[in-house]
Amino acid sequence: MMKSNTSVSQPVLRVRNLKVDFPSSRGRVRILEGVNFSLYPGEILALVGETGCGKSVTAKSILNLLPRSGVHRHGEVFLDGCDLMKLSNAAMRPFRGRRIAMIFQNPQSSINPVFTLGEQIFRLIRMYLSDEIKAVQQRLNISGRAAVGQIAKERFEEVGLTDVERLLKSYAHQISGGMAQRYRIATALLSSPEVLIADEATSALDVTVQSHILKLLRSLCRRKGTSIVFITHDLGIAAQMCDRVAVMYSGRIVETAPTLSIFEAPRHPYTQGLLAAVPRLGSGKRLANIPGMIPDLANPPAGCRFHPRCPQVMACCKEEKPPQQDIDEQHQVACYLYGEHVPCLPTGHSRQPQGAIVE
Amino acid sequence: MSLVPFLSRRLIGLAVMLVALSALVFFFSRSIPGDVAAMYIGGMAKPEQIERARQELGLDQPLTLQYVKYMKKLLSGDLGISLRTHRPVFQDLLEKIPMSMEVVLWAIALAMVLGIGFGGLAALRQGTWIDEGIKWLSSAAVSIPIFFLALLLQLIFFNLLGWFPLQGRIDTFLEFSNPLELVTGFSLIDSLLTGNHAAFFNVAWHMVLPVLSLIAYPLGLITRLTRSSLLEVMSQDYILAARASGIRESVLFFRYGLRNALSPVLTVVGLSVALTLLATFYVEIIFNWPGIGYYALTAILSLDYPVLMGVTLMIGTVYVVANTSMDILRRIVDPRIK
Ligand SMILES: Nc1ncnc2c1ncn2[C@@H]1O[C@H](COP(=O)(O)OP(=O)(O)OP(=O)(O)O)[C@@H](O)[C@H]1O
Ligand code: SF4
Ligand SMILES: [Mg+2]
Repeated sequence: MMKSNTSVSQPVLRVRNLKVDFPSSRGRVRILEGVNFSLYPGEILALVGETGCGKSVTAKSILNLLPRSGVHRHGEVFLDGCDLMKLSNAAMRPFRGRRIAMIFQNPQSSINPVFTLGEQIFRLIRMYLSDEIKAVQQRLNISGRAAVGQIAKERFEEVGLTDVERLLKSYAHQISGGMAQRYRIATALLSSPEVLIADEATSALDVTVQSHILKLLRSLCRRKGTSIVFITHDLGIAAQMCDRVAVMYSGRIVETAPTLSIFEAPRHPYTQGLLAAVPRLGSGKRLANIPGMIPDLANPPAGCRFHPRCPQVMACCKEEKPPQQDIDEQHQVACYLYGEHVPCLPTGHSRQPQGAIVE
Repeated sequence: MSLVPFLSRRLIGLAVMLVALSALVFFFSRSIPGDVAAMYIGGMAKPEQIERARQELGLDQPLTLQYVKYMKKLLSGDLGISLRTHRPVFQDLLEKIPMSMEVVLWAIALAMVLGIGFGGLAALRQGTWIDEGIKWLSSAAVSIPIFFLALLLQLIFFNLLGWFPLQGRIDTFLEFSNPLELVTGFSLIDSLLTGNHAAFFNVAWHMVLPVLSLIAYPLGLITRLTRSSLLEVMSQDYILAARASGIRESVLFFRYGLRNALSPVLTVVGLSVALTLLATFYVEIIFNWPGIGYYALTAILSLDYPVLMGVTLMIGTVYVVANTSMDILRRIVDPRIK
């Protein structure tokens, strides 16, 4: 596992207090309730959490891809010192794909079915890589068209796609899921973006294909210097693949730590529950159920949104939402069980964390 | 991937459908009430005259033999003789079809262009008053009865405003000064080909109200379908993925969205051709347009069965051919279609 020196380098992507409201039939629903995280150069950060907790909404709001009607976003998203939240949709466009790329869960449905793979990747190459096209043109003394084809060929080979000529003429429905995801990776990494957001990028694939794709993603991103926000349900994959893990619960990141610390000493009761529910790490098991219901976002519990399900709930948990606490420099948790200031006394529970050690 | 197997399958299918259609029309025609031979002779016929007519028309032979003969004739372009006018039906149809199709094709072509345009605009401005207005108008367009619309147009544009003629295809004086010469049978094309500009503008001017009456239904249908199909497409993963890769909104909408949304729209265009051809029956009568509708109406009133068979066969053929060509077009815009 790659260790990034998080204490020294500046983050490439810094998300601060990101809040998102959706309109709904029962009034406004706060989907994200202040999401905070940083992504450091070269690292892979896992974003894990139960379905509906807001992982995809977080990903989309970074690139301002949420539906335009009635959705409110607040907070800050810094890419290299520039606050993307302040940009208009048009001003956002040069960032999309070029500096922050995204791949989605179902590779086939995210390729346009009525154009060939060639038509689609050629357009992107012309859009992103005009300098490289010229360079290839001069180096090989070929036409612009041929240079675009040449670049496409190189990029296909880079992600392990062979028989390029045939693939360029194929449509999405004619290739397998694994090939489609390789193609999507090739297009996402065309311009060597600083950040890649992979939203369940391998969940739709079968296990062997999945592990090939993960290896590919890791080695390519390391080579190109791309950091990854890796959204997943699968704690096993998070453990194998990622340097740090951010655990999300109902619109908030409740715990962030290096992968080892999270798995060896999870602090937040929700994280502990998640890990206790996974019998063996790396077995490919998805997040199992924790007793209780996922909160209704239209009418969320007051205070800590986890309190109705929390085995260690205290009186104060129901009143105000717990602030983020530092366990150490790299380990943050949002829970009243930790921190200097005790805002309230436990109601018959111990204030000590029950360090659930998994294997 | 190749278009050839698809095309050959579609063309074979087309041939099968046409054969089935002709058989259907034949057997239906033999089960209509009324003594055909008596009608052929006309009123006050003697029994032996009727018998002779029966032999002449081949009606005394077994049904299967009649069918074989009918198919043989059909293949050589012989649809029989009109019982009323005693003229070959095929020739009549050849003359009337272009007159009707000219109006129908204009209506369909305009409905397609305008419908895709309005539907696209409504989707692009979803939820605004533009969208609401287009939705309302297109609902009105599909619900208004065609004869009512035709009469309304006459009332407004002839009676009140006097902008367009009430009826007919060309002014009477032009028929003498600049008569139309038949080349293709499509009067606009013919008048252009023969350099008869006076007739061209006059015919076009006469055509406006019939086309407007016919356009309403397909226009409303295509507009609504384009709008919903486009909105559906714009919410797909591949549009989100394309947007996430920084593709311009206008390209997303007009190049990707429309192209992806086109396939269901083309199906409806195919269906509209036949529906509009049927609708010309009313419109031609209201506007006194000398096309197939007028011809068919007189045939219906006098139970002129060879003409009715010919007209039915022709409408069926237009329907099948329109649908097949739309299927082929759909296959060209959407490679997933099997
Ligand atoms: N377009 C939308 N309109 C209304 N609500 C939405 C929309 N998109 C997402 N939501 C709501 O936002 C919440 C978070 O959704 P999100 O897709 O981010 O979950 P997720 O964590 O990615 O879940 P999964 O693991 O199932 O992908 C859900 O409750 C969902 O219902
Ligand atoms: S803040 Fe309270 S309710 Fe929330 S996780 Fe911590 S102990 Fe449980
Ligand atoms: Mg999701």
